[in-house]
Amino acid sequence: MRYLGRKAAFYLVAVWAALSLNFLLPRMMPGNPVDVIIARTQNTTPLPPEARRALELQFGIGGKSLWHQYLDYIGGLAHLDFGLSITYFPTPVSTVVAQALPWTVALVGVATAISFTLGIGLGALAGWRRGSWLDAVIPSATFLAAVPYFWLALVLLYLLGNIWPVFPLAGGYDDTVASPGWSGAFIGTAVYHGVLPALTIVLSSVAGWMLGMRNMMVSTMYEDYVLTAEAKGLRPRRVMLAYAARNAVLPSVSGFAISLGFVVAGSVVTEAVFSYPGVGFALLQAVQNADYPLMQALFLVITLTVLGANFLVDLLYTVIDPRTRHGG
Amino acid sequence: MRFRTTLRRRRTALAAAAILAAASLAACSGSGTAKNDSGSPILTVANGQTGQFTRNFNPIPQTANTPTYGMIYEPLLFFNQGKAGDIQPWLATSYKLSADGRTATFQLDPRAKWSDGQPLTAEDVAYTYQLAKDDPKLNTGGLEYEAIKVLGAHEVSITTKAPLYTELWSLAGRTYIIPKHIWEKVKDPSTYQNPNPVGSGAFMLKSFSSQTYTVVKNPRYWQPGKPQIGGLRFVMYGNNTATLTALNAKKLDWAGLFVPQIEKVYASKDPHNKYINTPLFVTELTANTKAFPTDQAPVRKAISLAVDRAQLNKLAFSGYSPPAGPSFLSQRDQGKYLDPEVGAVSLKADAAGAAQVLADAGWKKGSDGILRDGQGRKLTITAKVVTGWSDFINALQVIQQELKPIGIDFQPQEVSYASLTADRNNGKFQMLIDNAYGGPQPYQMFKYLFSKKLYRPVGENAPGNYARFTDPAIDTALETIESTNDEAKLKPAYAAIQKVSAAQLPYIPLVYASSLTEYRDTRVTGFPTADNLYAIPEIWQAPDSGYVAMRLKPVK
Repeated sequence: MRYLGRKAAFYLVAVWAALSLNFLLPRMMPGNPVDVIIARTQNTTPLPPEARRALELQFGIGGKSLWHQYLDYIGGLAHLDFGLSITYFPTPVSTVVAQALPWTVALVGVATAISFTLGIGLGALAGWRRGSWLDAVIPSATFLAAVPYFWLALVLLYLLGNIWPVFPLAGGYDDTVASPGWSGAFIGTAVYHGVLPALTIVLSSVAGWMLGMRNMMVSTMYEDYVLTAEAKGLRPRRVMLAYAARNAVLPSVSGFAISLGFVVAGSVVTEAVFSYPGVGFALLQAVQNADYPLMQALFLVITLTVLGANFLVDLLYTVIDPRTRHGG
Repeated sequence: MRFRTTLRRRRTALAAAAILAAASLAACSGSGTAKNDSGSPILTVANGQTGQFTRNFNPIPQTANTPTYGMIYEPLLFFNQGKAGDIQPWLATSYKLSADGRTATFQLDPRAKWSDGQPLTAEDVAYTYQLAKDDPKLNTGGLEYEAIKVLGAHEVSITTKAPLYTELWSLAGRTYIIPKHIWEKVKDPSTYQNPNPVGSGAFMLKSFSSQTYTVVKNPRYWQPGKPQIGGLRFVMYGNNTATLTALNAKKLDWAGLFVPQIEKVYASKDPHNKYINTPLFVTELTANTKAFPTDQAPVRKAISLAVDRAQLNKLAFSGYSPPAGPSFLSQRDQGKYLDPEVGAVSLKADAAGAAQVLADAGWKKGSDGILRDGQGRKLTITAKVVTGWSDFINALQVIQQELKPIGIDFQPQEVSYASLTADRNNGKFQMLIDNAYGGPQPYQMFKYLFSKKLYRPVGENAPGNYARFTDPAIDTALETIESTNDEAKLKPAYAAIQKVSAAQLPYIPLVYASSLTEYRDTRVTGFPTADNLYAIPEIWQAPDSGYVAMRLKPVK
């Protein structure tokens, strides 16, 4: 229990620090939203310079001190009120995030799960049959992981979107096919739009899982209990899965939990390249428009998912590895 | 949303220029927009927005969805920026300015009514302006109101503290009238999202999602015979490449996006692929007249002389942007107000002349080929530009090459959009490339560029006059223009400003900024053309897009 209490206290402090940094960082960026909005309207129907005051009042910036803004921010968080987005003024930030979050969670979540399953499976096989052709796949897969992600994504988009138009160029779904909802047609078009971005995520991350799993597998295979199992005459398949792989997968499981935490955060580049309507794309818009409230809410979601995933891993370890419980 | 579109429309496509040609080739066939809409088609339009739509149709903040301005809500008058002095009736059939210019009286069209069937009366108009008068938060026009009076069921007068000659656009052309019977129940009009708008306009919101929304014909619309189309469906394509692909695949009827080599990648693909270029603004180099070396008039003059504007248009702006001169008058206003002396200034590149101007001012070349002044200070200029705005970046690179042989060390520097805006407003730059913005009168651009009222010392946030340049002749001229509508007084005042601009060049004019609209005439006709520019046909141009949409005619 004391262990749990200590952990909980640590995470509370971490959350507070993250919240405060989250408040300060956007305000240290150059530019303020009113200037950006005025500058942008000037390309189309310019706002009169006198409109500045009205905008400052609308956005609630200008007059207030930083400390006052901080108190407002913390107070708002307590009520889960993130304020109004400036990019999409006067839409509440929570609406913008809620519209974007499902896209990201679905795309990156599914891609991460596929990548993990595929990587672990192939890694286990490659470790079990060392020196086989599968082992030779690993270096080429690591090559894909080593290529900068955005480049890989752009090349695939160019090849599969432009040269051979197999996949769409941008967006989350085709609105001429279906409008959002739980209809088959909509899910079909959403999946079709998600395949290419998901493919790039899988291609660039699968090698990491494979390599880790393969190496763990190799060292586990020299453990005494694997030798015992083989000596008992168990079928190789059973030895591989129930004895070797089961133990080799442990470090990868904690890695997976942490990477799930980054599902929300790690999508900025993917979504920018594929113009995918998720959290990463919303974050990009928020930064371009100096949209503090939206940035804060998005960073908060990201921070909390990462911290939450870490906390879960910590808890999980107390279950699967008793040594961590006794402050060893 | 009008303003967020603008960044992307111009420049992101250029970044992917290599992909463009392929993209358009790839889009060989498409199912088309074909919908069974028997005679009143629903057009598919892309306003260049990316990310997501939010259900915001509140016309008071400047951030609502495009159709809010002009399609759903309407202003009193329509100011056609395509033609000089072209003001058309909208909700008001006529208007009159008082002798001192401070009071405008509007006669409303008695036929006007809201989409819920209630009549639109003087009460609604007065209510709209009263909101702005009472709450500075809602005063996005920035006018100082004195009195708002209902003179009859269809007559309203509005009095402001300053004459309205130059502010009528802001007052009557860009304030959208809202229904009193609905908005008086709204607690905070500045943050109300107005998800189900009731307006007086020709279109009504029908369906909404974060990726697309549709406005349809208002069956009760008060102007007889309008609109003839069934409505407009707003879509987003994430980026310009995808938008162009959709356009070429015949999936779009109306779009506004920057396309390099538009003839090759779009217009030549199909005889129905049409476009129109309606340049309104001037791309210029803003010189900080409070920072060395751009505070030296000879330096600014030399740069202006050395720049080859025709080359710039060809190399950086795809040939859409004709050279602009120091009059800073749009092509629309030149016939009326161009000062003959300023108009005669040659825009041909003259490197020898530029070198001579600098030599006369005492600049001498050092051993590294860079000029130095009497105190030994180098002629090095950093010019800021927004990262990713490739046409501007290319332009600066061309200029860099042109200035090098003269001995000017001209260094483009890419910064973020927010950072450029902040540096510009606070005077932390030597030079930057920007667009000078205007309105229906030349006054708006001159005010933006030169007004003493917008001047702030370096370090303070300026709302305009970013060159931080003031001149008594300009101040007097602007005051004259603000206080009269007498053409005999306006002409010399405008001429005085142009003369100072040409002599001092606090802003070095480069080219007229292009503004492309693409449309297909298979399902509708009636878009403004070069011969009949009854409005600016840009889809994000408000309220013009609404004015155009209700005049489109289905192809039988």
